[in-house]
Amino acid sequence: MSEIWLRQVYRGVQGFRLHTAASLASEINPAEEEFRTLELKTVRQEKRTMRDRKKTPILPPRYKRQKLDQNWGNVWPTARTFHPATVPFPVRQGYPATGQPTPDKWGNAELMKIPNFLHLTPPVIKQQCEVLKKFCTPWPAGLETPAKQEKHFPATVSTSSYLHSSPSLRDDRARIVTMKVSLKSLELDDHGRDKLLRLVKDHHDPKTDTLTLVADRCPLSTQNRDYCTYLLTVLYTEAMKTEPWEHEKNVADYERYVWEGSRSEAAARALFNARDDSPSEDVLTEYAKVVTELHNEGEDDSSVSRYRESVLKLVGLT
Amino acid sequence: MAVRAVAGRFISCIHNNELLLCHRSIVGRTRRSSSTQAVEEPRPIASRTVITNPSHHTSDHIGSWYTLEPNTVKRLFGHGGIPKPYRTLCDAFFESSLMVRQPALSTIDYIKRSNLNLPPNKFMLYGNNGVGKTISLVHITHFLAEDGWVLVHVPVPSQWRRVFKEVVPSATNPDQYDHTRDSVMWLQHFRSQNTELLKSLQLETSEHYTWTQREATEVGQPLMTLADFGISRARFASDCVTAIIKELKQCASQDRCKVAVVIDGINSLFCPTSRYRLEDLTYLPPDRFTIFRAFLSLLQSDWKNGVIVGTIDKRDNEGERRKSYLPRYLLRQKGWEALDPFIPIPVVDYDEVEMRSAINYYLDRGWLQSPHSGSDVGRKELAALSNHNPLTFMEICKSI
Repeated sequence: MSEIWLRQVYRGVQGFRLHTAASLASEINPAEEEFRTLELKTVRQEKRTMRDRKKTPILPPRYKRQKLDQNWGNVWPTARTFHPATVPFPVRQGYPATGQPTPDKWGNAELMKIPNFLHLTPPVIKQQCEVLKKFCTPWPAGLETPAKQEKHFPATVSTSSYLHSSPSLRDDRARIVTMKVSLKSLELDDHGRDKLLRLVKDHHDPKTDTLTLVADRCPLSTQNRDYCTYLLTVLYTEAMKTEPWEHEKNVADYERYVWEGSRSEAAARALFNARDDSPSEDVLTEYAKVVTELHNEGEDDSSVSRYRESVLKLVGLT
Repeated sequence: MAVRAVAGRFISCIHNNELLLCHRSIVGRTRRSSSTQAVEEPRPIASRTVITNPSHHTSDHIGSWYTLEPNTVKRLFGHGGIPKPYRTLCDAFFESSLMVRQPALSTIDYIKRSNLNLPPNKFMLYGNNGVGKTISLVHITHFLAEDGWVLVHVPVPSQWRRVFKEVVPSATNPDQYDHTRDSVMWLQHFRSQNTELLKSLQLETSEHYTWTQREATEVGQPLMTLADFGISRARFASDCVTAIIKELKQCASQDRCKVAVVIDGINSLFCPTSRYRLEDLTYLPPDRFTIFRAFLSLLQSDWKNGVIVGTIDKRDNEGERRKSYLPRYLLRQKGWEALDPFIPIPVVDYDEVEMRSAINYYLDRGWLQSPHSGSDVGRKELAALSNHNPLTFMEICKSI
């Protein structure tokens, strides 16, 4: 191994001194007589300190600086994503993890995803309405109450229009027309009403007593509107007609229970007449009312107990 | 008294240096205190009444237990009437006791005040599962028997529709089908309940019945001969049932007796399905059974001096028609038209007084073994577990 090769190999090693014949031959320093230590690992004496980064101060949330009587319309003028530091009240949303409370507003993706209507608080709406008023005409006279509106305009026609900012403005859903009519305004008799309800089935809502007709079969909304009008006319005229086969309707087809002429009436009258202490007719009328109610309104504990009371009176056991 | 061994109902104990075999009801439960002295725990006494005649029960007795005499039980319910789980408990307790409750008292009161000149009043007990309709009916049946009513009692009519012994086409009527052995069993039940009464009332047949060329029942024979004949000749048993019912209706209309019809599960008579298969593999509608027609004729209003008491139970309907326990739903149109106008009597779960009384009774009989059953906390737990329902309470107490 030559000296040059050795120097190359151990050039990085501090404290390496090649002990060769040449060095031996030269004058040896008595201090260097000691066996030199081989230091393979260097230990840095000084640690470089990191530069002090400027710490940005975390300001308190904005709502803490808001006054209680501030104008909220200025704080939240338009629809914007929920921002927890600006909204002054605590609100929680989302499914809680096990043992945790519902997630609060800070960093809440659920709150940020959903539309909030903080830009439409009642005072803001009122302000906007005040501004819009100058573009409005007065409400027609004679249509103040819903009853009057119902009387003069019993049918309601609704359509939706759509606007697209795309190569085509059109939307296919704009052709759909919904017509709502209250059956009270049609002034049908019992037979007509029953027939109409059988014809329309699910289109009638018993709670509000309105008939809803939806037309979407024609390409234009004007055509669908005309079709709705035609449909209503046909339903009404058919309901007012009585077909020759309608006399075949029997008790099983009745839509409501009718006590008069039923077996219940026969049995009750037989019992009533068999009584020799001449009870009043009220007993029978009350019994008729209770039995009709039990069948038409549905049976529950209270209607059964009313039935019991009326039968006890009928048999004379009160 | 040192308690040594427990063997079933009897406990062997040493008392005064003698070995005795005592019934466990006499022996109080003992617990060992810290000084190993046996200390008797006071056992709650059930609230009982000594009045055994149900017509003397008043609203003061509500919640109390009254005991039926063994002879009465055998006579009235020997062939059915008390549900089997209840009977098992009565055997365990060596007594047949029932709690006096409001629905039975109301019905008994109405029956007492009924005008018997009118067509029969119909009292129908209704309520959810396990509230105590059948047991109330047992109470009412006991009253009717004590009060001198001829009992026409059908314990389980749904059995004739579902689990019949044998159904054959009727010999007399081609449209009808007879239950041979079931009719015999019912006639035995009728005989057991009414022998003494019919003897004392001296009711006789009003018609001549020709069964075969050689067998006939003459006019003027005691009514029980019809029952005896039906029991001996199963082939004619269903027709005997029809005949007895017809005779009883006639006797009642002639003011010679008062007839009480008691049917547990009356809505079963109006169900449209039975399990009897005809030759064409269709199921027979039960209104073609002879005995069904016989009992349905009793529900008509063409007789007097009668009363009809029944229960409307959803378990007696077929599976698809059990959504509600209310009478109109379970009876359907046919049943409603047959029974209307009737007096529906609601039966409800135990209230606080009755719950307390039931727990005390089980403690008194030694049925509740857990030492905490009688404590306040234990009582609350039992009431909560059973939801105050009598049947559920009986079920959970089996393992306590």
